[in-house]
Amino acid sequence: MADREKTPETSMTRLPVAEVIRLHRGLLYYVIRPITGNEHRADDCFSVVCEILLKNYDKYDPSRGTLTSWLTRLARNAALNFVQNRKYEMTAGEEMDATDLENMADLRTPEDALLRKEAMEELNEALKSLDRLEANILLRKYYYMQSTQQIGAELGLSVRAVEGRLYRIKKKLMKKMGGHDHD
Amino acid sequence: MTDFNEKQLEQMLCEHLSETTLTGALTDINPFREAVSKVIAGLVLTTFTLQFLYLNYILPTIGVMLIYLGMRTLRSGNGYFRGGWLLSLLRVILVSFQLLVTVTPYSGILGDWSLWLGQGIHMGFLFCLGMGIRKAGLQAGLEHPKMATWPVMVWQVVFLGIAMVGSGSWTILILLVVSWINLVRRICRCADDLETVGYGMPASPVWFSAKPMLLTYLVLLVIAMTGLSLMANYTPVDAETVDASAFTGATESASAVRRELIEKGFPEEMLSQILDEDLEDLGEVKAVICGVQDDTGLLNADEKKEQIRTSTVAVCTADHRMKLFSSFTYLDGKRAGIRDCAEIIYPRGEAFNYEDICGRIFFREENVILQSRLLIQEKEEEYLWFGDISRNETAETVYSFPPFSKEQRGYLCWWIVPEAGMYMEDYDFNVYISYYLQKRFFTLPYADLPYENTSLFGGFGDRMGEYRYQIYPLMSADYAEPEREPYL
Repeated sequence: MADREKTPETSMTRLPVAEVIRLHRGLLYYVIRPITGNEHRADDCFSVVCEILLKNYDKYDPSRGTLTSWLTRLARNAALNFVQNRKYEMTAGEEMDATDLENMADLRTPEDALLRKEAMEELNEALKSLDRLEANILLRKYYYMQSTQQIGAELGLSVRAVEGRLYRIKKKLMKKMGGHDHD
Repeated sequence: MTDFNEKQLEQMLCEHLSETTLTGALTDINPFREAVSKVIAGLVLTTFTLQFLYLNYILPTIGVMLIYLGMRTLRSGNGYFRGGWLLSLLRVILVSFQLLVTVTPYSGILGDWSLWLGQGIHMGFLFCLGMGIRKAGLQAGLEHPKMATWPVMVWQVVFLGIAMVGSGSWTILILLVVSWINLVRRICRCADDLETVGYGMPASPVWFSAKPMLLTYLVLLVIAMTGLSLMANYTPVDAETVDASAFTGATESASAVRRELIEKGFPEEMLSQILDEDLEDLGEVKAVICGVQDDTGLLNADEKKEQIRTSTVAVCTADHRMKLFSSFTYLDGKRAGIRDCAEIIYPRGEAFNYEDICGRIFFREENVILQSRLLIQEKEEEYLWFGDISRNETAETVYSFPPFSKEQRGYLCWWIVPEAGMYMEDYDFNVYISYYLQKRFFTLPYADLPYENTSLFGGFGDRMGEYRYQIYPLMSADYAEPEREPYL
């Protein structure tokens, strides 16, 4: 508590990485646990995240965002990769790059890239219509991969209320983006 | 426009949400920010009172409920948080009990003990909150976590101490404001501490969302207060049917009295509202003095509020007594309050006695006229008059018309009898007649009718929803007599 108060974000890069991990251990587990699903896998994933941090800590640029945001993205993507065993998994001799983990760039055709860009613009425009609570729920569900039970418990909502809100948020986004609600 | 369905939207969100502008709010995702915000807001609302628009009741009620709703999420964190949650629930129960009792005549049982109990629970809650944050910090691996609420508790005591001094000086006021600002600052710092160490604690699931629960609680509380208050304030009367002939002279003697009164100038319309029973004891009528104050002389009635018409008539009898009749009726279909009160104030110490005070109300239900004889209570009151204590005698009666009754009206009547050797003709009579109408469903806190005045001319600022009409009929028995006869 007092440590974080006394140490502004920019000067945290001067802290040893072990200290950063110690101070943000709770945050890292908070991000990893919902994605990995159980405590054992979370511990394994945490080890992987620590390893990545050790190797890439000096690449953190305070001008691009806060340390908390950087750690959150890194831990989230590492946990996703750990669980989904995607093409960025570690092979013998190949090291994971923090930049790759952050960007998660797909190898697509130029047409795919253009369509994706258009879709992203529409999505961004639609997301502006969400209020603070709706944005909070959306991030928790689709970025942090939290369960509706966890979302409800932390926001003081019942599970049914969370499910109802998610349904209405998706309806709103689809309406804004011109989609339809059938498969 | 892109053509896609819900599944495609979900896939897009999963894959690309990190690239949207929404992720600028990533750091807002915190397991206990919502819960802590409620607790902090509740603590701020319960630290001060504003003595207008019932905010001294509303803000603390909302505050204790917000604290409870916030602690509801934290209760599984550790034993201290659970203790804090239980104490917050206890405080909600205590505040609710206080509010429900305050609208009833039993509000007097809420003495200082209830205030000190509330403060004790609050201090216990702050202790549990601080120890809970400290224990969470230890569990999160912090080496020397502090008890975050110690400064809050200290400033709370300072704030209370200064408030109890109760002086109206500027120094005290400034000290109060400074201590309150520091208290709020310390409370907000607790929020930062809890957010930092909260990642390792599980949030407790809830069955009911916070907002609906808060609204439901407030609505139920208001309904309960209204119901209790109506039960406490409604003063039903025993009514009996009355024949229409009782207002026009059922017997020959009653008719004769009525004819004589009309000849002497008694307003016929008002006379038709008085029962024969209350005219029988008049005997020989010497004169009728009409201090009719229809709609005038009403102390605080204005065009918006005005709804009651009063008339006052004095009948002077041959035996040098005077009987006063003061009638009231509601105009233009207006209705009485939840409960009403009629009060007569007459100065003590004069050479006259006020006797046989009687009050009646009349109303119509299902085309039947009903009347009720009111219970009159006589008592003596002291009041300040330009710094000196004076005494009055009062006669008052509190009653409620049935809720859906029509043609509500009534009157008071009483005798003024001079002491031996005194003559009515030498005096002018000031009689203060007040009608109180309580219109609100409940008063916070409960207050008896008539409301206490510190002086005869006090109490001009009536409470909201209540109307008070005062009449000062000045009666003089100065009528021509061939010669003054001694009082027998």
